[in-house]
Amino acid sequence: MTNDKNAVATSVMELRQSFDQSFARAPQANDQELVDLLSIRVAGALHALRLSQLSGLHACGQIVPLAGPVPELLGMIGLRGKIVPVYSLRLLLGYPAGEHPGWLALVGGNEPVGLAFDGLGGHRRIPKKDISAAERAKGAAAHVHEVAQLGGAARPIIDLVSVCEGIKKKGMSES
Amino acid sequence: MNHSWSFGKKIGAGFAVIVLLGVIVGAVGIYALGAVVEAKDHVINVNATNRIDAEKLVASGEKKRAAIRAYLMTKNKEYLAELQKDRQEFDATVARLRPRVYTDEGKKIIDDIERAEREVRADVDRAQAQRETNIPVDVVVKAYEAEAVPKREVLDHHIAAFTALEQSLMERGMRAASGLASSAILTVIAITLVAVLAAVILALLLTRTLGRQIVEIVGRVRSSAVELQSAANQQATGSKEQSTAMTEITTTINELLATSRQIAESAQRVAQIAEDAVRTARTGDGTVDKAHESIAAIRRQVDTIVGHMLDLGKKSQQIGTVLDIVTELAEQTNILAINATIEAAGAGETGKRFAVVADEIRKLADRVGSSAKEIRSLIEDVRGAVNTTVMATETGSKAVDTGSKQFGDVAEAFKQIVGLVSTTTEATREIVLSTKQQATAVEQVNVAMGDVSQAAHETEVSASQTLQTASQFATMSKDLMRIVQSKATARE
Repeated sequence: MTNDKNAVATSVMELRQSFDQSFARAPQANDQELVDLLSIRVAGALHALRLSQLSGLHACGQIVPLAGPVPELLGMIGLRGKIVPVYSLRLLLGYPAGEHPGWLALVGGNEPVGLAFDGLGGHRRIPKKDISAAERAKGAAAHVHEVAQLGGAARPIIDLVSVCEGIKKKGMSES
Repeated sequence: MNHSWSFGKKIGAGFAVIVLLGVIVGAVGIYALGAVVEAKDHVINVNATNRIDAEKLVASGEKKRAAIRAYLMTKNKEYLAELQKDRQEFDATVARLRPRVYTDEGKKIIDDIERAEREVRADVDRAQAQRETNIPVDVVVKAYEAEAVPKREVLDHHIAAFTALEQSLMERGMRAASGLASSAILTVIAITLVAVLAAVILALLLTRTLGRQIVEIVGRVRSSAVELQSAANQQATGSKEQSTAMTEITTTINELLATSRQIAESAQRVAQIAEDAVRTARTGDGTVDKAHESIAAIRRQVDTIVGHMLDLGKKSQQIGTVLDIVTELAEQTNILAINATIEAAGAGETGKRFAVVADEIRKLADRVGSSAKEIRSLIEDVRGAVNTTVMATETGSKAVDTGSKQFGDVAEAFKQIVGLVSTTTEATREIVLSTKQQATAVEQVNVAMGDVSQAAHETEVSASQTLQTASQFATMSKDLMRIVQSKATARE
């Protein structure tokens, strides 16, 4: 019991010191360029998104479905006074439809588009050298152009620009 | 002859048969003698009397003839009186004869005699009347002779015929009586011979039957004598063994007496120990009651512990609820930090410092999330420990209940033990008393065994005498068998 109490106190102390030191240290010039990634889970598979391609991350609330010819368009959702169309990242990547998505990634500036996905792994910051180009492919891997080394495993990075272009192409072809 | 009959009955039956035969012989003799006597009486009473009366008729006729001749000659009245008296005698004789005559020929002769008498009597009366007249006597006699003599001859002839008939009948009756007597003598002789023969046969049969039975019985007596001799021999041997065994039993009883005294002393010590055990058990009974109360107190404490542990579980659950809120806040903070990072990246160079802040907030949120996970793990451990403790405590509570119940049983058993020990003490005292009585009884048995040993010795002597008597009895039965068999052989 005493050992557990000491371990908790030590952990709190380390947390506090780390927090304080992060503000005490002078801003360091990046010796190497870092890339911010967002680890996500789509259809049970782990993927990554470039944080620089996102305009926001939200928990996926109530989606109002829309009747239309595009199956990837799940519907509309309201975010901070804006109506945002929500697309299923599973369907866009070519996976079969699944349960209600838990998270929503916003892409685009003034007219953002919501990409719903299943799970959130968290924020990851890795060196740029850990990212390598991926081979061109079709189907589910059509929007994956890069692969990142995360935790000793290759993690496909979904190119959201490519995804958005695909959405636009689908919208134009449908219209 | 029936085998179930006794000797006396068989002999009595034989004598009865012989007596019966004698009675039959006597009866036949008496009957034959009676018949002979009757025949002789008939000859004497009837034939001989008739014969005599026939002679009387002859005599009366002669007397009447003499009386009338005398009257005719003398004319004396006295002769008439005699004549009248002779007539009356004649008539009386005829009157006696008539009922005794039983043959037709005799009855006819009697009738002829009466008729001839009447004719003669008429001639006599006529001659009497002529005599009383003045007719000369010669004429009267001559006339009387001429008329009356033929008729008198006829009368005499009839009387002679009657006499001859009666003589014949008397001789015949005498011959018949003699024949009857001879027949009776022959019959009696024949029946006597038959009776003698039957008596001889009966005697032979009785002798044979009784002899056979006597031989059989003597054979059984001899066999019994041999068996009795064997039994007496065994009895003598058994008596010797019994005498030896009695000596051993006496020795064993002496040892038993010593053992009984030792048992009595041991039982005395056991009684003392049992009394100490009763005192100790009563002290232990009080200790058991105190322990029972302590267990009840433990039971209450365990219930209190269970209540506290259940409260602890509820508190842990509340902590988990709060921790859910903390975890949710950490996630929200993390998302907020990510969005801040996105916003900082969009702000360009001016957003870098803000990006540092956002990064630190995100790290802080990550650490809060990790700590919340650890806390949740710890809470789960606490809840598991609480559940385990509650279950263990409930198990302990049940064990305490069971222990309490078992302890109650132990207390009850202890009370029973106290009672049993008391009973044991009482029983031990009774054992002491009984063992002493047993020792006394064994002493008495020892004395009695001495008497029995003496009796066994006397029995041995008696068995020897019995053996000797049985041997004599066997010899006697053998002699008797030899005598009976020699008689039977001789008879056969």
